[in-house]
Amino acid sequence: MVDYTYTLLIPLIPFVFFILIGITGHKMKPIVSGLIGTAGLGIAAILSYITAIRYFWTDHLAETGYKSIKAFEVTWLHLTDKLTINIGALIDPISVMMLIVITTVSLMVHIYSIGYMKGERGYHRFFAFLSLFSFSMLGLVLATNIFQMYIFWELVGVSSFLLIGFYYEKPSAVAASKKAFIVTRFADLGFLIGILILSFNTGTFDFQLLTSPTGPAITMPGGAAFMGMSLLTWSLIFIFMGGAGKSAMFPLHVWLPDAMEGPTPVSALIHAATMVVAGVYLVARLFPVYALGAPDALTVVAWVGGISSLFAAIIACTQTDIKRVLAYSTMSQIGYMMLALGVSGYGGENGLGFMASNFHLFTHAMFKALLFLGAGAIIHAVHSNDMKDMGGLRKYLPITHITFLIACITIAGIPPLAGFWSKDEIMVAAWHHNKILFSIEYLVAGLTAFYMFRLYFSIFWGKATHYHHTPHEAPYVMTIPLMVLAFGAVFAGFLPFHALVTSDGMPFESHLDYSIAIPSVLIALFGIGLATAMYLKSNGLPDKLAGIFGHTYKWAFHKFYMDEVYIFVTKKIIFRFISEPVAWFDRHIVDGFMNLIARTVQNASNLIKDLQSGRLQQYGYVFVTGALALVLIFVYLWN
Amino acid sequence: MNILSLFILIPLFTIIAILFTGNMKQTRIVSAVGMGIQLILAGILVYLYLAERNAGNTAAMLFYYDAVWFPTLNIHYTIGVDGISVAMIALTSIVVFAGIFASWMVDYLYREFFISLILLASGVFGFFISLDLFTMFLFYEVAVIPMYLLIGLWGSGPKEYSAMKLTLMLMAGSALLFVAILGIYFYSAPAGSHLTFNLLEIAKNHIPIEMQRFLFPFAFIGFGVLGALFPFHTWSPDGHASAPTAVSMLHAGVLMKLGGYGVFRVAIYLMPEAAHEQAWIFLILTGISVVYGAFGAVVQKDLKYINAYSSVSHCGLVLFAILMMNQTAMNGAVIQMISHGLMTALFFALSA
Repeated sequence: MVDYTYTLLIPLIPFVFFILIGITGHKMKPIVSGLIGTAGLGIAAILSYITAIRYFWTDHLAETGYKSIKAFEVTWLHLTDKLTINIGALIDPISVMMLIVITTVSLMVHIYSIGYMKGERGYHRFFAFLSLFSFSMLGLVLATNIFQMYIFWELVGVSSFLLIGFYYEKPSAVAASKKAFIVTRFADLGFLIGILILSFNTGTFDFQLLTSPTGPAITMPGGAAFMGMSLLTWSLIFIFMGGAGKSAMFPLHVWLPDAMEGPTPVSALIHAATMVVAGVYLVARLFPVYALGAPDALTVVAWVGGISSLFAAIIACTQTDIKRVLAYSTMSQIGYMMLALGVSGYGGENGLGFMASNFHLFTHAMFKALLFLGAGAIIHAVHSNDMKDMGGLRKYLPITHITFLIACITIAGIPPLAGFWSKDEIMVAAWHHNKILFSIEYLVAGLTAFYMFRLYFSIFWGKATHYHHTPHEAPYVMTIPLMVLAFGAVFAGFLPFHALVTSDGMPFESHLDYSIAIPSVLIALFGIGLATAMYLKSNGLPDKLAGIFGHTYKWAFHKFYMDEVYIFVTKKIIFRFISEPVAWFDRHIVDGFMNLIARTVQNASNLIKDLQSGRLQQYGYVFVTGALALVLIFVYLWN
Repeated sequence: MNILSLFILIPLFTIIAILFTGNMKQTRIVSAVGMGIQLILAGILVYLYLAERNAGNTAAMLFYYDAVWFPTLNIHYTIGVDGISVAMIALTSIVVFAGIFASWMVDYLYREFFISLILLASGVFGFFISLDLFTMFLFYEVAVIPMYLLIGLWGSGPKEYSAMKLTLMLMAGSALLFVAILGIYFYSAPAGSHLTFNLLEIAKNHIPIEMQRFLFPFAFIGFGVLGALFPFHTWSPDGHASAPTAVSMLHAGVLMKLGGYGVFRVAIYLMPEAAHEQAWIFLILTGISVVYGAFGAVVQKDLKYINAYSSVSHCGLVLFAILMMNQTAMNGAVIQMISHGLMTALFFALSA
């Protein structure tokens, strides 16, 4: 057995730096806190790369298939003999892959933020929170059991909350952070219920036991338990609800676009590359249970993914805030990943979807982080989020322009860039499983190419807006991360994922299927062509097209009124018909009753208190009257 | 000297020391030092307790000490702790220590304020270490009465109303409790032998089931009032909103735990059969507390009201868990009490 105990340090180092910067940061020069945070992430990144190289290559694990290795585990809470919560680090292909994704993107974001956040109030607070986030996310992916994952899942939610609300003077940022927290927390309720059902019936939290094909979860007696589905299926659907919340899947996606109120590097790190794929990671982590134990739950995953990807792609075509376009694009791409997991089978070639999903997760992290950081550089230069305020920026921001273009091409799925390879695998997996989902994906591929190039042309081409200050290219500290990520976006597609990250740890052969790849590239090219025609030079075409679609356009522009639905359900129904009556009932009926008792006692004593007047004459009268009354009673009534 | 007695003596000495202080600054420092010692002592207690348990001492109660102080009725000063009491003592000492700092700026009748606050704390500590029903009840009352003064004098808003309401409702709870305690006392031993208030002994000599059926609701509701059991929780929102910060902290953080602890120690521990029979009634009530408190909280406009209603919800959960009557749920209840104690206290400290 190979020793991986040191992987414990990967999450712990950012945690130590979080404490350090959090407590002493305000005494440092701002730049020092930034450098310290970056250094911490740098060490974590180096350790992650060492782990990846060792695990995948130098430790010769490939011959027997990549097994999951428990690098470290301790009992954290020993509640009863049946209920024990452990904490540890689990090393397997997907967790190693996620380590690479998280530390790479996080390191790039740290470096970038040194420049981006310059001069902001709360500079050290920002870096402290970034470290906290990195710690939580790394702890999440290394979790050895589902409860540890849940704990870190919540920690990730908290760090996201803190970072979205970073500009806490801004009411919109506060509202957005609150919304993100509440929506994901609501989804996590499902997650918790799922965990409870699953662990109650299997008697374990441990991932290795749960996902073992002969383990208690998969061999759990099936049969319809409730509404035609087995207990296992229900628990997995509930767990997926948690994943759908974090990964902004329809209909729990409403928080993601608003989360763009946070600083842009945060959007790149949390809301593009790492935290939002936690849901995908969760399903991937429990994948054997889904695939072997509850294929129905997997169908739900596939359809939720498919619908989300289409839904988000349509909305993305109409938005004008560049970060929101990217947010919807993220949602759409995560939909792809979910769909790929949903259409996948278990083992060997059947597990193509599983591999494709993780592959896409990996490439997406690179190019989406790049897009967000590029958007940050643009916002930095123009001081606006709205693409109406932009245009012709290619002359002013050459490096941003090139890297952004690379990202757009790769997300559109043009070979030989990374996005093409991973997306193609997903297409193939979907083709073998379900033709409707497959067609949705083709459509989404076209839409993706269209809205990304709409974004690209509106920012860098189109009419040259008159700027108050000439926009400047960002400093090197910001452009170098862009170049690094662009390198990743170009070459990540050549990684042999089918030999490394597979559903059962065994490598399999995968090759390009031209009958699927060529049409998808053509669709993407058509999307790009349409965007070029409409947005390369400003013309009346976009308005005309919007006019043709009429209501559809209006609905998409208003995000299909999902926010309004939520507001309606919470404020108009739950608050008005449950909470307010409860509060009223409490104040007026329950408390009113208590007050009534008090008042009755008070009134009663008011009535009789005059008897205790202290005046002797009155006592005399009463005494004599009473005595006479008694005499009369005895004399006349008794006989 | 038994370490547990120090938990009552230190507050008393602190109170005496406060009487001799000349100005606000001295009062604060004496209070902080006294409660700081108490906090350290709690740390030592946790350490000693764990050491003792690890050494294999499996007695039900550790640091047991017993002395008669009213022989006629066989009332003892019996003290001892198990894991639950140790946890509660640790929680209390943290909250009280923090509470002293939260009331750093009290300048109106500051000496009396700190005396009342520490007296309240000593009542709570006494409650948690007592194993004699009567002594326990006595400490309970010691904890409730300063609360009236603290809210009525140093509170805000409709403070007299809130203080009166809180005290009357808790006193009504005490009245029920007193009935229960006397009932338990008279059936605490088989006919002919010596009656006792000692919890451990009563648990050994089972109370007749007919009496349990009659007494269990008294004991449960009596402590339940303090644990914000629906529909006897309405003192809590008003009381919390009017109380000064430190008192809200202590009240929500610690005093409401007295309810849960008491329910466990007295109602469930002494009358398990009746508890099994009647659990469903109280499960419904506590279940209502949980949901009702939560719904009540979401539409409140006042931060302190939000927190008060959420406390109703959380304490309902604690009582609910205790009623499950199994090991896992009990662990959960204790952890919930600690976490709720810390977070509510923090919340009140911040919202002031």
